[in-house]
This record gives sequence, structure tokens and C-alpha cells, in this order.
Amino acid sequence: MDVSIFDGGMTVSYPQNYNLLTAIDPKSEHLLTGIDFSELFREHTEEEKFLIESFSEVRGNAPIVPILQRESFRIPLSLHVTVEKLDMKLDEIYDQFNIPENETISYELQFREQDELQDFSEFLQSVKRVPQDSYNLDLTNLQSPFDGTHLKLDEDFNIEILKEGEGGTLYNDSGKYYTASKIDYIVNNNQISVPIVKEGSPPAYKRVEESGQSYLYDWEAPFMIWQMGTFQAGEEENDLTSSPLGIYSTKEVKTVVDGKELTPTITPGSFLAAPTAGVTTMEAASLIKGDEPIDAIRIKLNHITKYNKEAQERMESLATELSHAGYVVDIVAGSSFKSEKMNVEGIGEVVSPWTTLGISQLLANAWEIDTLLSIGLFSLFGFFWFFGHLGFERNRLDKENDILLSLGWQQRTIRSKNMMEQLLLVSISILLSLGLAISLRLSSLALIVLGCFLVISIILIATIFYSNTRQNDRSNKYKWLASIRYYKNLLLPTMLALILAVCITHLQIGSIYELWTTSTETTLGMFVFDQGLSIRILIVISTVMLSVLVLLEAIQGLIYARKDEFHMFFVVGWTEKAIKSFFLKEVLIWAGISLVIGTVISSVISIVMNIALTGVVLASVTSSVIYLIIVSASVIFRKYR
Amino acid sequence: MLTLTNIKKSVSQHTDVVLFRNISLQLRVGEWVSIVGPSGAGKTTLLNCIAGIQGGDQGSIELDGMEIHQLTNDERSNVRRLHIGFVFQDFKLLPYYSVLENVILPLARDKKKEQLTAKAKSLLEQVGIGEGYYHRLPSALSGGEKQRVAIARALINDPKLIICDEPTGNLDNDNKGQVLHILHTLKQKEHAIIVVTHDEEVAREGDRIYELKNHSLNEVGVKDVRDKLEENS
Ligand SMILES: Nc1ncnc2c1ncn2[C@@H]1O[C@H](COP(=O)(O)OP(=O)(O)OP(=O)(O)O)[C@@H](O)[C@H]1O
Ligand SMILES: [Mg+2]
Repeated sequence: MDVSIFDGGMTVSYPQNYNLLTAIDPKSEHLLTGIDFSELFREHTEEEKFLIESFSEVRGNAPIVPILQRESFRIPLSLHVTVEKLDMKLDEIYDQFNIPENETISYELQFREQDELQDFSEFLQSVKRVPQDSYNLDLTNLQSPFDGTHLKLDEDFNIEILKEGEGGTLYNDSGKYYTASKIDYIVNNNQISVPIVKEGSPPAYKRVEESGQSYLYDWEAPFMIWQMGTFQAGEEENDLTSSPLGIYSTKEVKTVVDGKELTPTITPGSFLAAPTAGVTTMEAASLIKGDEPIDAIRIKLNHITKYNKEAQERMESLATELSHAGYVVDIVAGSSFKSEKMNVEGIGEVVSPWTTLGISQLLANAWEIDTLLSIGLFSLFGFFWFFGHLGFERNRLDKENDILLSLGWQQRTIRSKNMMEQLLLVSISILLSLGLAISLRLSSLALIVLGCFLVISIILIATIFYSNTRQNDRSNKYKWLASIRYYKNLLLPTMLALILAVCITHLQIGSIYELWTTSTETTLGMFVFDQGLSIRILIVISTVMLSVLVLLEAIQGLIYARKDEFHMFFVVGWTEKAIKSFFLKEVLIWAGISLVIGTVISSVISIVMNIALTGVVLASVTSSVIYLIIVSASVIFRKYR
Repeated sequence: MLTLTNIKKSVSQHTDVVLFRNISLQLRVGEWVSIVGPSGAGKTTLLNCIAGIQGGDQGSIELDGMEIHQLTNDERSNVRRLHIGFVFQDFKLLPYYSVLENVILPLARDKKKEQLTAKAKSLLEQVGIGEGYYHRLPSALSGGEKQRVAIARALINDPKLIICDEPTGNLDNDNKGQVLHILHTLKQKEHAIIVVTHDEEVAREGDRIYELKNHSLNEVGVKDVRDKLEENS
């Protein structure tokens, strides 16, 4: 720290800080990220022109490096001040060092010899100090990179920001710079380690080359930094980095050692990933880095619509080709950060952000599940419509058929006529779903699920149309579940609706859980999850509501059909509570059977879709409980008289 | 045993329509009262009021010292289950329960099954339903058999009062005769019986015969019954 005493005033320079400057091709960067870099090319104001000219003169006509500063990028910095009072009278100095009474000490000291100054210094050291006060001043929000702010502490230790020219010259406009190599990560058995390249305090993990010169020591600098303004790297885009290289990551990079968070030490050799603090142009970069200013180019592969095996193979083959051509290739899909443990030499185990390709797989899965969900939902809509339709049809057809029968039609002819009509409807829906499936480019799994739904619908048609409405020629009673088996034709569609509702709800909850657990591992995943969460929850709620409506309707129909029965119970003197519990017991049996079937089916589908067991269990419990409550409530909150 | 005093009942059809008013009736143990009257006069409604299935608007119904319409819903249910037997024209048997189970149904939640089954068997024997029928479903019974099962069900609680709403309406002469015989025996066993009927022969079995017509209940002589019934049909 440079300290000088001057009339009781004291100047403290900031410690050196290092900030990442990235040269970009502003046009393509703008297209990619949507960030506005146009200020990089703005005209200088008259005042700036004057200043640049005057500086240029004294700085050997150094060329200008325009810089756009990253908005709200702050350098963590604090100042600790301890105030002590020297336990002596000022007169003692005047006496001891023969200073005339009408002069200030500092003025007089200018004319003293070196050994006298040494004595003076030793004298001051020997004086007893009385501690007075100490101050912790946070300067973080007052400093931004590539820019200097002159601060003044007044006598009460309040910070005051000085305007340009009030504090001093543009010391900060440094011509000193560092170029750093990439970190040599060593990956061994899935363990990432970071070796020290140069010992020191702190040690360097990159090979760092220092170049240029600060104006503090040399006016002949290679270039002159000029602030053009600031740019904003879309914080409103939540946590998603807007560039695949992650250089604009707004998310604070958190590195944790033994549970303690590391603040990015501002050294050029740090192993910590640091986002860029400012951008400049390619032309400016060549001033600093010479004829080969480009470190990295991004390559985007066209026509990748889905992260799948094929996409992966294409990426890998291109990467291989490029690395054979002598390039260093990183594959960064989706620039997603993931916390990764790495062993940093000299520090220990560190949890640090790490870009990952893993999200691609997750995205593909999420997409798959989404599609399945939508198909499920659509099928559900279809089914519920279909149920209503079939019930209605059956009634209508029964009457129509009676007329046809009495007109001399054969039972067989009538039946095939009915079936043809229904099959025509189903064929249309099959064609529509197939078209949808093909246009969505579904995987074979989705097609299988779709197929299952269609098979169920055909079974439905068959059961509803071939079941005999004229009940039971049995003379002896069923031993078990008598009422349920007696009313099976009435109950079957309700049970199927319940099974279906459980399946859809179960699958949705399972997939939300799965997405939640896997996606929160990475930043992009979290982003995707957050973006889709409200829609997912909406889908679950609407499914549940839809199922509830259909179930209530079905149970209402069931009770209506058995109105006389309930009345009879009432007439023979059963209390309403007794009737309710009798009916509830019966409902719980068939609803329970449906819940079990639905849970088993959807658990199997979930396991096939690779959903974690916890997710399956969670989904099973929640969906069963939801429908158990709904069914019970619809039985309990009703009058039976 | 049963005392009706000034019962009034109206039902709401578009506007409130008075079905009957100022109805008073006394029924003693071992007595059989028949009620006739045109369709829609309110006979079933009157029976429902007596049994506490429907509420009356005015007046009091006293069964064995209990004021039916001052009881709670559940208490009324208890009165029906423990003290009243019901027989309907359309039997009202549970289609999925066996004959035995139908008979014990009213008390199925009150007493032990073995006890009730033993009682049910003896009742079924009384009404002439043999052991071979015990486990049949009602759908496998004839109309007369069904009605006899229904009567057995009405007797499972040893009711003081037996209420019959056209018990023979769906039966042929043979079966009607059997049912009448059973009811007759019951009357002698000190049950009070109210029978609503359109059948002259059934009505004549009553110790007293009433006609419910033009909102009121009036006693009619045994010889007038045929005329009254013909008037009404
Ligand atoms: N809950 C009700 N709401 C409105 N009107 C009713 C109600 N119950 C019965 N009624 C009407 O009251 C009248 C009497 O009905 P009730 O069933 O008592 O007649 P009934 O004398 O038993 O006839 P039937 O001999 O045909 O059985 C009828 O017109 C009927 O439509
Ligand atoms: Mg009637």
C-alpha cells in the first residue's frame, strides 16, 4: 500500500485489481445475445476529444482501447481503518526538531536530510499510541472495473465521491495487462483436479504473462483505455447465461471450500471462473494481443432440433475434425452451470461451477415427457367426451334398436351397424392422433402409450355395446361384493374414468418431480424448470378438475340410478349416517380397486420412463390421496333421502 | 296406540296444494284400519307422514306416546326401524341381496347376524317361504313370493304398527289370498295394521274402513265400500 503524509492528509491507492476484458465481434455477439453493444462505436463528445488529445500528447500518441463496462459489475473491496492518537504535544516535535513556530511540520521536513527524517520517523514510532476508533468501510459499490473513482474520507470518516479532476489525475487508466492461459484441468476417474502453475500467494493456476506498463511509472504506454459506457447482460432472463461461453453469467459464481464461500480473489492466475467485466472490439484486442487476438470462436451446428444421439454424434464428429486440425475444442451445450467438486492444489476440495453437457439429455427427456403429458391430456379430454357420448349413444340406440327389432331387423345386423358407427368415430380419432404424433416427431415410447390409449378405447366400445343392459339371469346371490358386481355395467365406465384420471395425474406429478430433481442440478435446467413450472401446475390442476367433474357426474349418475334403493333404506328406518357409511364402504371398494389399478399402470409407465423411485412413490401417494378424498367427499357431502 | 289429531298436509306443485286437512284417526293394538280413496288423494303421503318419512304441516301424530314430528331425523329413523313395518305395492327388495339378507336388512346394523338370521328363517317360514329360497335373489322370485319376503322383512323388528301401501296391487288372486291370510294372522298377534288399498276384498278385512277424498278422511260402512271404489275408478 502506498502511503504518504501530506499536511495531515493521507493518500491510499487501491490495491491492484484484475478484471477480465473480452474482445467481441459486436455484431454477431448482439445477434446471439441480444445485448446492445452499440455504445462501443459512439462518437466521442467534444470534452472527451479534448481530453483524449491532451492525454495522447503526453502519452506518446498511444492508441485508444474503447471499453464498454459491464453494468453493476462490482469489485469486492473493503477498507479497514484504525485511528490511533499519538500521546504527546505537538510542541514536543517543534522543540525536538527545531521547527520554527510559524511553519508547518511537513513544510519544514522537506528541507531536512535523510538521516534527520529517519530520526523523525523513529521518534514518531516511539511515541505511545492511544487507540481511538476503528472503521470498516465497504467500498464495493463504489468501484467498477477499468475505471477509477476518487474517494475522500472526511474527518468523521464519511465517504465522499470526488468528481473528475478533484482528486487527482487518471492514474487508473492503466496500460498494464495480463494474458492468461487456460486452466489445465486434470480429469482422472471423474475427479477433476487443478494443479498450481506458479507458486505464490495466492498461487497461480494459469500461466500468466504480464505486459504493458502503468502510467504511474511510465508515460510511454502501449495503449490508453477509454470508457465508452456500460452494457447490461440481461438479468431479466433469470438465471440463464445469455452466451454459451458463460462470459456474461449474471449469476454470481459461487465457489465453496469446506462450506465456506470463496470471493473471487482478483488475481489473473485464479482458478475461479470469472465473468467478463467489460468488452472491447477486435481491433482493440489486436493492440493488446498482437496479430492473433482470437482465443475462441463459437460454432453453431445447424438443424439440430433435439438433443439426441444423432445430435451428439454430429457434435462429436465436428469436434474431432476441428481438434485434428489443431484447434482446442470445448463442447458447450446450453452453457449450463453445474456444481462440480474439484481438487484444487494448495486449497483442497472445492465446489465450483462447471459448464456441462448433461442438460441436453435432460432437455430431451423433459421434451419427451411434455409431449407424453400433452397427449395424455388430449386423450383424457377425448375419453371424457367419449364416455359421455357412449352412455348417451347406448341409451339412444337401445330405443332405436327396439324399433328396428320390432320392424324385423336381425339383432346381428343392428349390432354391426352400431359398431360400424362407433368404429368410424374411433378411426377418425386414430388418424388425428397419428397425424399429431407424426407432426410432433414422437419417439416410439410415446407411440406405444398412444397405442395403449387407443386399445383401451376400443375395449370400452366393445364392453359398453356388447354388455347386456338387461341384468343378470343369476338366481343366487354373489357371495362377495354383491352390489358392486350387480351394478358392474354402471360402475365399469366410472372405474375406467377413475383409473385414467389417476394415471394422468400420477404421470404428471412424477414428471414434475423428476424434472425438479434433475433440473435443479444445473442452471439451465433450473431455468427451463422455472419457465415450465406454472404451465405444468396448470396442466395438473386442469386435469384434476376435469377428472373431478367427470367423476362427480359419474357418481351422481350412480346415486340417481339407485335413488329408490336409498329411499328404501330410509323407509325401513336406516339413519342417513348408516346409509352413507353403507354406500361409502361400497364406493371405497371399487374406487380402491381402480386406484390400485391406476397406480400400478402409471408406476409401470413411470419406471419405463426412468422416473426415480421416490418420484413414483410420491406420485402414487399424492394421486391416490387426491382421488380418494374427491370420491369420498362426493359421497359424504350429499343427502340420501 | 296411534293417534292422529288434525293433520294437515300440503305439497308444492307450482303453488301449494292442500292434500288433506283436519285428519284425525285412532288405532288400537290388534286393530286393522283400511283406507281407500281415489288415486292422487294423498293416501301414500298420509302413510309417509305417519311413519315420519314426510313431515306434516299441522296437527300431531302420536305413536306409543311419542310425538313423531317432534323427534329429530335420526330419532324418526329409529322409530321406523324399531317399531314400524312397511309393505309396498312394488315390494322394494334390494336386487343384489338374497332373500335372507333382504329380510334382516332393517336391523342389519343393530343386531348380530346369527340372531337375525334365525329370526328371519322363522318369519319366512311363517309367510310360507321355504329353505330353498333363502339364498335366491329377488329377481328369481314370483310376485307373490316377493311380497311375502317383503312382509317377513316388515316383521323382523316385531313392529307395533304395520303399514301396507297397496300390498296386493301387483298380485293375482291366489297370492292376494295368501297375503291377506298372513296379515290376518298378524292382526291376531296384536299388531296394529293400516292398509291402503284399491281392492274391495282387502278393504273389507279392516275393522274400520276410511275413505280419503276431497282433502278429508271419513269412515265408510262396509257395504258402501264397493260403491266408493267404483266411484273412484
Ligand atoms: N313430494 C311431492 N311434491 C309434490 N307433490 C307431491 C309430492 N308427493 C306427492 N305429491 C302429489 O300429491 C298427491 C298425492 O300423492 P300420493 O302418492 O299420496 O297419492 P295416492 O293417494 O297414494 O295415490 P295412488 O292411489 O295413485 O297411489 C299427488 O298428486 C302427487 O302428485
Ligand atoms: Mg299411493
